[in-house]
Amino acid sequence: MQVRLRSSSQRAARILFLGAVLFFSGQLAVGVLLDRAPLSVRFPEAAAVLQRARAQNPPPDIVLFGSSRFMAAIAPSEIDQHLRASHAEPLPGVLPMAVLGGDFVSTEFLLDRMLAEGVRPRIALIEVSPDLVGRPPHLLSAQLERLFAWRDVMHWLPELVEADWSALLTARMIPAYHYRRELLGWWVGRPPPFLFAPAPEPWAPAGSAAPVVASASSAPAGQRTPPSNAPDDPTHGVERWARWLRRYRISQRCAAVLERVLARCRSEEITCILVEPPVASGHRALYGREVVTPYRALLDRLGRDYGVTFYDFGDRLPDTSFRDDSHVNHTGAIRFSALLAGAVIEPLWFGGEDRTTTTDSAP
Amino acid sequence: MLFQSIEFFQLFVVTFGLYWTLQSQRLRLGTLVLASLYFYASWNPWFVFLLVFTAVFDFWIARGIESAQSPSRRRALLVLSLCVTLGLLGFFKYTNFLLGVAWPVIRPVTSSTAPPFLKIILPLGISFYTFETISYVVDVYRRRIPAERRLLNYMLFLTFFPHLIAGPIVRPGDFLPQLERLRRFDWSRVELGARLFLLGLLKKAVIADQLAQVVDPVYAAPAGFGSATLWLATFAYSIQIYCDFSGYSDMAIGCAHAFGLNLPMNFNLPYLSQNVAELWTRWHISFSTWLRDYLYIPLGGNRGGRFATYRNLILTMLLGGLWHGAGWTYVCWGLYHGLLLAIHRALPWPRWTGRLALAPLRVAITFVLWCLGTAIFRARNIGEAGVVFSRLFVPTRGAELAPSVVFVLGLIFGVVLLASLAARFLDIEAIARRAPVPVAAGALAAGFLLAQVLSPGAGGAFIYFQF
Repeated sequence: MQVRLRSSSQRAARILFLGAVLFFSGQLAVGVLLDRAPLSVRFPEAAAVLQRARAQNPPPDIVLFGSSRFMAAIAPSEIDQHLRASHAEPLPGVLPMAVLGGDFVSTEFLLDRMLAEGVRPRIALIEVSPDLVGRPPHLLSAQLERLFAWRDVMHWLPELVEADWSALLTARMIPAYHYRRELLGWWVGRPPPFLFAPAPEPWAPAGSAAPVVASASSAPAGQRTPPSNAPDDPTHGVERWARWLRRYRISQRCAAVLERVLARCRSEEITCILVEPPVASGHRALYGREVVTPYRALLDRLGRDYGVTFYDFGDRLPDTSFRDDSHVNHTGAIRFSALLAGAVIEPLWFGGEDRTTTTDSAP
Repeated sequence: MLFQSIEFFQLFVVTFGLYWTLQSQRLRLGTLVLASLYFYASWNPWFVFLLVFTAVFDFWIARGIESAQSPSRRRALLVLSLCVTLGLLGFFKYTNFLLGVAWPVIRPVTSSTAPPFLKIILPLGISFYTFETISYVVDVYRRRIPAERRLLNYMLFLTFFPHLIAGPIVRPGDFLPQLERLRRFDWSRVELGARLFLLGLLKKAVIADQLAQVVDPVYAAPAGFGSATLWLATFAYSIQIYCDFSGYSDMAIGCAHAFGLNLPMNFNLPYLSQNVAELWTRWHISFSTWLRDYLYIPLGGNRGGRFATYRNLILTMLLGGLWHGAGWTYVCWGLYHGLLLAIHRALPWPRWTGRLALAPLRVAITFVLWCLGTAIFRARNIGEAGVVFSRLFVPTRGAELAPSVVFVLGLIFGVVLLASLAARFLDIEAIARRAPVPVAAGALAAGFLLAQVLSPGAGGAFIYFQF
C-alpha cells in the first residue's frame, strides 16, 4: 500500500513537472510564432497605415508620424482646403501615419517599412514632445506588445522594466494569454468576439438599450483617452502625466532612435520637421524647467547635427479645443490643421513666408 | 482578485510555497488565514473587519453555548448569535429592498418623493459566510460538534480563501477536524487539485464567459429580441450559470486540495437529472443540504402531513430564493421551485413514466423547467421577467442572432452535453490514472493553454459573487 502511494505520488510529480515544462514550452513557441507573424496580427494599425501609403496614388508627398495626439489633431481635408484656398493644383498629397501609442520606435519601424516598400515622400513631419523622450518611455509598452521580438526586449529591458514590468512579464512569459485576441483573430480570420447579439429592435423600451457587444479597448497603454461620448475635459489625464513626468530625465535610447530616424531621412533626402502638437494648459504646466531644459537641449543638438526644424505648437490652442489634457477635439483638429498647413506645410512646399499664423518656431 | 487572474496566481504560489515550507501547524494555518484576509481585502479592505468580527463573535458565542449550564442561557446565546449574524446580513443585503417594499406605507408620512434608499455596499461573500457561521453555532448548540478551542482554526474555517466568496458552503464538522493534524505534502493531491482547477477554468473561461456575450445583451433589452433568440439566450444562461458556478466550485476544491484540505462537492451533473427534486440534490449541493438541515427540517420537514410538507418545501425554497438576492425576481424564482418541488411530490406519477426509454425525455423536461426558472432569475426585474415569458410563449418577431452565432452556441451546447454524458457514463478518474505520464502531462498543459487562448479577457467576475 505504502509503495503504491509513493509510486502514485511520484507519477503525479512527474505529470506536474512535465506539464509545467510543456506549458512553458508552448508559451515560448506561441511567442516565437507571434514574433514571426504577419504585421496585421500584432500591429494591424501599422499594416493598415502602410497599406494606405502603398495605395495612395499619386504617392504621398508629406507624411506625418506620431501618436494619438497627432492622430486626433490632423484633419487632412482641412489641410487640403487650406492649401487649395491660396494655391493652384497640384497640391501636395498629405498622409497621416500616426498610430495609437506611436513613439519614435514605431516611427522608425513605419519609416523603414514604408521606404522598403518603395514609398518615398519628400517631407516627414514627426511628432515630438517632452513626453516622448522622457524616461521611462511610457509608450514603450505599446511597442512591446505589437513590435518587439525577444531581441528588442533584451535591448530595451531596463526601460521596459521601469515602464511596465507586468506587461513585460505577461507579453513574454504567457503570450498565449496576452495575445489571445490576436491569435484567435489570426486563426479564424476575423477578430473575436465570435458570440454576440445584434442591436435590439427599436421597439425595446427606452432606457433598456444594452451595450450590444462588449469590446475591449484597443488603445495601447499610455494612450487611454476618455470615451468619445464623454464630455470634453481638458484636465483629464493631467494627474497621470504628472506622475510620469516627476523626476524627468531624457531616455538616451529613445533619443538615439529619434536620431536614427533623422539620419535615415537625411540619407533618403527626406526633409524632416519636428512638430510639438498642442496640449491643454494643465498639461503644459507640467513642463517645468527640469523638463524643458534637457528637452530643449536635445532638440537644439538635433537641430545642429541634422539640420531639422522644430515647430512648437504646444500653447497654440485654448483649452476649449481639447478632449482631454493632450488630445484635441474636432474643433481643435480643424484649428490645428489650419495652423500646421499655414505655418509648416505651405512655406515648405510652396516656399515663402508663413502668412497665416504667428507660430513661434524654434529651429 | 479572481481565480483566473495573474494576481491570484501570485498569491497562490507564495501561499503554497510558504505553507508547505513551514513545519508548524499553527504557522501553516496562520499563513492561510493571512492569505485569506489579504485575498478578501483586495476587494474592500474595510469589510475585513466585518468578517473578523463575525468570526470572533461567533467563536466566543459558541464557547459560551458549550459552557452554559442552563438551557435558557444556551438558547439566549443562540438567539443572540442569530440576531447579530442575520442582522448584519439583513442590513447589508435587504435594507433597501425592505425600504422599497415599505415605501407605499411610509410615503404618506414623509415629504420625500422617492424611497430613502441607503448607499450600502454588499460585502462580498456575506451570504456564504453567514450560513457557515450559523451552521457552526447551531451545531454546537445541538451538541453535534464541540466548540472549537482555537480561534485560528475557526478563523480559517470561515475565511479559507478558496471558498470564502462563493462557497462551497463548508460545514464545521467536515472542515475543522482537518485542521487538527499536520498534513504531509502529497503530489497526488496537488495533481488532482491542478486537474480540478483546470476543469473549473475551462468551464468558466471557455464556456461561461463566452456565453455571457450573448446572454447579457439579450437580457438587458429582452423586448427587442424575438422568441427564438430569447429561448436560445435562456438555454445559454442556464449553461452559463452552471459552468460559471460549478467552475468556481471546481477551482475552489482544486485549490484546497493543493493545501491538503477537502471541500465538499457542490455539483453533480445537475442537468442530467430526471426530475426537479433530483436536480436539487445535484445543484449547489452544499446550499441545498444546508437549507434541508437548518431550515426545512427545523420547520417540520415532511413530518407534519402532506400539506405541511408542501408548505415547508415552498417556504424553504422561497427563503432560498431570497438568500440569493434582495429582489422580487429571486422571491419568484424561489416560489417557482418550491411549487415545482411540491407538485412533483404531490402528483401520483404513473409507473410508465419511470421507464428507462423515457429517461431522455424526463431529462429534457426537467432541463426546460429549470431554464424557465433561470429566466426569472436572470431578468433584471419582474416586469422584464414578464416580457421574457410573454416572448418565450407567444411567438414574437424581433432581433435574431446571426447564423454563425447560433452555430457556435449549438457547438457549445453540444460540448457541454457530451462532456456531461462522458462524466456520467465513463470513469474519467480511472482513465486519467491509466493514462501514460506524457499524455496526462500534455493534456494538462494543453488544457491550460486552451483556457488561456479562449478566455475572453477583461471582467469575468463570477455570477455568484453578487450573492
